[in-house]
Amino acid sequence: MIEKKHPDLILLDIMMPVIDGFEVIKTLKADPDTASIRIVLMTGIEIDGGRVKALSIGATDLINKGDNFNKLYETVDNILMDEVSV
Amino acid sequence: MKVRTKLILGFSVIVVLLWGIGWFAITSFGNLNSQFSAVEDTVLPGTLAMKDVENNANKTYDETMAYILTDDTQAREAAFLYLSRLQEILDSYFTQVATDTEKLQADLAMATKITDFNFSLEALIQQKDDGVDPDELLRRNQITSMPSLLALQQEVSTRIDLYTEELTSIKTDFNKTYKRSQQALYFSIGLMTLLAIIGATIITRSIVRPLHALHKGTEIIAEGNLECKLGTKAKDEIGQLSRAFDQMTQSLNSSMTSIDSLNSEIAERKKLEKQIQKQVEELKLANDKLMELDKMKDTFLSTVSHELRTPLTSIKSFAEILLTYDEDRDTQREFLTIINDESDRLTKLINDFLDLSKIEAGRMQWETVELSLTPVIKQAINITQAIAKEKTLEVSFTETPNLPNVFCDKDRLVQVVTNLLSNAIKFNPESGEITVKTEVVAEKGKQDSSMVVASVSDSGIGIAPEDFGAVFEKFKQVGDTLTDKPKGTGLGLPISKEIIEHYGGEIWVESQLRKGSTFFFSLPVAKRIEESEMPEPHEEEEVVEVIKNKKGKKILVVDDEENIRIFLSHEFKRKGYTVFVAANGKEALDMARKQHPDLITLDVQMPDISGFDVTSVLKNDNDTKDIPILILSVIEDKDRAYKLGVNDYMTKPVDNEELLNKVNQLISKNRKNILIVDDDKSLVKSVRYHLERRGYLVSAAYDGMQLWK
Repeated sequence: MIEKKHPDLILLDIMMPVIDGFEVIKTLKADPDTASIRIVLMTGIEIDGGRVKALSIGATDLINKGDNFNKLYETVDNILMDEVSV
Repeated sequence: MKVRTKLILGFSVIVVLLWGIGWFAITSFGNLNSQFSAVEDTVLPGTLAMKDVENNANKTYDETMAYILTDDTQAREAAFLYLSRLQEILDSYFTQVATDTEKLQADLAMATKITDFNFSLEALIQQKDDGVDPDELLRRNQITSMPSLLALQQEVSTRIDLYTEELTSIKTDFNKTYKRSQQALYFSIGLMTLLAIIGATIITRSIVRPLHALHKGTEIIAEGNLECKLGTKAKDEIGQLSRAFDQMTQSLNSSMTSIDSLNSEIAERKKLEKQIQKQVEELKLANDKLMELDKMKDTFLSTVSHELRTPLTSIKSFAEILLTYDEDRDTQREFLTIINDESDRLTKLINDFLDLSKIEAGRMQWETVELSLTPVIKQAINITQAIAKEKTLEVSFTETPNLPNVFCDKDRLVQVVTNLLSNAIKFNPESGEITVKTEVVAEKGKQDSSMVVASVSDSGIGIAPEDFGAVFEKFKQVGDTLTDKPKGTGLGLPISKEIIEHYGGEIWVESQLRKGSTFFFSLPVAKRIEESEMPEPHEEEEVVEVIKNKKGKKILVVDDEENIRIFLSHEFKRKGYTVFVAANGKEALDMARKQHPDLITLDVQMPDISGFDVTSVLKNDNDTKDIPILILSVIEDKDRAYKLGVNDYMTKPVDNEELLNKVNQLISKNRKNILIVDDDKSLVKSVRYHLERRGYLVSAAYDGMQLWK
């Protein structure tokens, strides 16, 4: 799926069954083909220092699902627009 | 030496001396006595005897002469009587045996003379008896008796002279002895007196001195100096007393020291007790505070659950109605609107609650910038304009020129002002007035620490003075809670308080019941940054770049206000865009379909068809749904806009540079591919919907493994 679609951005939930978001991000970043994909992590619960942790393992941002979703869209817009101007 | 011994010694010395003197005196008197005895034994009887001899001899001679001349027999008997007496004297005298030779010879001579005299007279008397002639007898007498008498007389006189001489020598001796005794006596008395004085002095000293020292010591101790030590070496009772005294002082001193240490210990303990007392009080206070907090927490929780349940109840009941009954479309829409509004309220409540918790827990991330209050207030006015218009309220804002900047988190400050404004709107009667003002208040004597004060006044129901503090407390809506009053989360003001206080400001209220309230907040003036330090915008460079990239891009400007259309057209053309304009919704739809622009800027409040409606139509049309829409409006209603699929939203008045940047970004956006990975299917659905509306291509996966399938 990832190869077929090759997304510009992935919105990735952290708490998932089987493999969690952190595992996914590690796998993605380990593969040179997918390492450049921007990833925004989503969390349902507040994690202390979560943002720092997220950024340190290669995520572009961390979004709290409890926040207004407009923030999510703004974040997505900003990330993808950045890419254009770069 | 013991005092008793000393005294006994002293007395003994005196007694010995007395004995000495007595002995000397006795000896002297013995001497005198013996001399006196010598006189009595020898001189006196000797002399008397001589006198007796001379006397008797003379009387014998006289009586003999009388007999011779007168023949008187009586005279003759008398002469014999005296002769016998003379013989007696001689016998008695010579019975005493002379001791020394000289005396013996003298005695013998004496005895011879007396015997010669006796013989001559006896012979003479015999011759008379024989009848010898008296003249012859006288003549004979001249030859024999007379010389013997004379010799006797001479001898007697010699002997008397001898005795007198002896007497004189004895007298001299006596005088001598007497004088010597006297001198010796005087000397002994003097010596004894001296010795007595010396002995008394020594003894007295040895007794009095330590006593004196002891006395002094007691005085010193009486004054409180326990370091005093007598240190006597004497071995007598006073010495013992002194040592006992020293010992007593020492033990007193040590007990005083221990009392001192005990005292300090007691003081220490008291201090400790006080500390403990203080701590206990502090603990009690803390405990009270905790109890209060606990109570507050309970109240808070019950309030929160109440506040949460209220909108939830509405949502649930209306959702149930919709699910159960087939209402007509308008009713459905009405109910859905209620559900939506209540959801918004719920969301806001939860967000407010989380904000407050974050601030209180110190986990809020502040994005502090230097900013001016004026644009912040304008933005807040824009945001609240929609609800103000519903109640036909006027919000008037008087700008203060050259208002100093403050340090704050911009979004949070907007939140504060919006809160105050929406409160003012909520509690104001219809057609009332709301005034926003700003001013600079300088603290006395401190130019650097002046504050920017903003105020929001309403003409609403007002607040009682006793509730001034309570309005800033969580979940408190003051006044009668049963009356129908505008609903709120009750968290707006507490959050505002936290925000303002975080930036060193204050928030307060002044109010009169039924006359309206004024909410104030102050923020410290930020240090002015000189004009020259302001970063120069690199506008020219960017413009060139923009023109390069955006050449030939088309923008449709939609606004019912002609001035705004002209202004926007001018700005966009200047940057090299091709611009189309539309004055109302209908024109806008036509133009969009005809020209298929790369971007539409859209006003919301327009006659007949609103901006939202235009958006809704365009985003539901496959031909136009990819056209990015940027809303430019005085109304802040982002939520609704984004739900409709608006790509971006800006509130007027718009910062030109920001607008051009946004436009630039929106136009250059290609269709981006976004992948959502989440096991929450309803969330995926909702997010996917919104993202697609915003022009993205969206795919979804429900677990991590799907990515590599």
